[in-house]
Amino acid sequence: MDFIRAAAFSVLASAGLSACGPADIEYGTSDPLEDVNRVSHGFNKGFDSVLLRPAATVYGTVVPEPVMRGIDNFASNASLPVTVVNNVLQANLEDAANNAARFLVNTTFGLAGFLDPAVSMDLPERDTDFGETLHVWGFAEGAYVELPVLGPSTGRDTVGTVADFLMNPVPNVLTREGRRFVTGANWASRIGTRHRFRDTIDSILYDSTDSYEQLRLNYLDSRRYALGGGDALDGDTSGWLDDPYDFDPYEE
Amino acid sequence: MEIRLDGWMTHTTSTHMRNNPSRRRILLTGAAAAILAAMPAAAKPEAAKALIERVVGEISSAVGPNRSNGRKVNEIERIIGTYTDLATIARSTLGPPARAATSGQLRAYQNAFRGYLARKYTPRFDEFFGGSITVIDARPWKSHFQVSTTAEMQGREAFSVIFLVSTRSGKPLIFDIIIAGVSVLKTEALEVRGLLDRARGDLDILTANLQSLG
Repeated sequence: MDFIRAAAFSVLASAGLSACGPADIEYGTSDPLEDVNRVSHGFNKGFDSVLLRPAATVYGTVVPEPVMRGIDNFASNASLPVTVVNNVLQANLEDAANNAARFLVNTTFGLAGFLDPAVSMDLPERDTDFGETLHVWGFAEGAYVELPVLGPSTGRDTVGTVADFLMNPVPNVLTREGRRFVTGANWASRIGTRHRFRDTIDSILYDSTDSYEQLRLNYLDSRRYALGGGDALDGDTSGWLDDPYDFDPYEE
Repeated sequence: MEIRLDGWMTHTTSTHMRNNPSRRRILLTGAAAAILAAMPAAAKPEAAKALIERVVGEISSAVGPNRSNGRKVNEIERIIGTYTDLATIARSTLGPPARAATSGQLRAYQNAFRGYLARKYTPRFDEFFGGSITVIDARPWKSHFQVSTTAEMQGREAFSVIFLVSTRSGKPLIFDIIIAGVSVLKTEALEVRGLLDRARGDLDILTANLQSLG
């Protein structure tokens, strides 16, 4: 925890922030790195069509649904400790307690996390990450980036991804084999997700006129929606969604 | 490159409008007149909620394993034609080129676009067969209504689906669906812009091309 506190303090101090609320949910698209991002997008599309997509097809055909769910459960359980750390950093103690209890229940009674008895004890996962922590601390979204292999992100979320990786306490308590197993489960879970959302992903990547722009729109809007707690349509929505009725066919 | 559609359309809450009082007065008068005109039809969120419940019901009975794909697409196309404000949706996906188009061109585009939407989204609705959509609430949003629902499917986390409903046409009609934060209208506006570029800005070519897409 010392490391986390020190890291949190240094990030806060360096930005000159003290006590402030979450950053505003942004709209529009800031994409100064578009040229580089498009190169990365080309790579990711190749990566998907050569590896991820075929692997997902095989995975979805060969692996039975309950096993897939078990692997997803295991991977998501292994990521819970860092989620709890982020809950605490966001001063969301209720979610921290929920996720900590969930981790304890599923790691023990849920056989290292393959099963999810916690959900029937009213302890569902309340997901978060360091990108959201930075958002809660008041950091702006930053530029859109498409990372090789990892996919769409923003400046803020890229820092978040790195921080989550560094803060994750789980690898420290595992053997080398254990760490490999967790990494394998994470990839399997990702391939499973590629399988489950195949229609949407195929439509964005392969059936659109500009898959780069479609992916960017999809990522930014769903991420902003998640960060807004699903309330992005409430409050002042100016610009979040243009009103098509300003362009009124019935008045002409 | 800017994804938002400003420049294509001005929105009532934008700052450049506030800086222009004469324009604001005109817009406000227009908006007030339109709201008054729409009042008797359905000024209550309940009407929007009832619309969504009806649409969800009709979509559920349109898809499923016991029907041919052609029949499903036809039925979804009928539902889109009946319960969405296609005139507005079609115009807003086109952007400025809609202003230059004749009403015949717009009607042809609108019909082609309806078929394209039906072909594109029928597999998604089909995939959703057996899942459930629960209406949570309906409330005013801007000068329209938003109907919030939760979609549940086996083996997936529940996600939010928001239907935006307007009564500007005289009766409540859907003009956008926001799935886990992602707007179908924005997605399709982006797609149509790409297709229009590909057709070198020619609306008739775009309309012809749409017939084989989706």
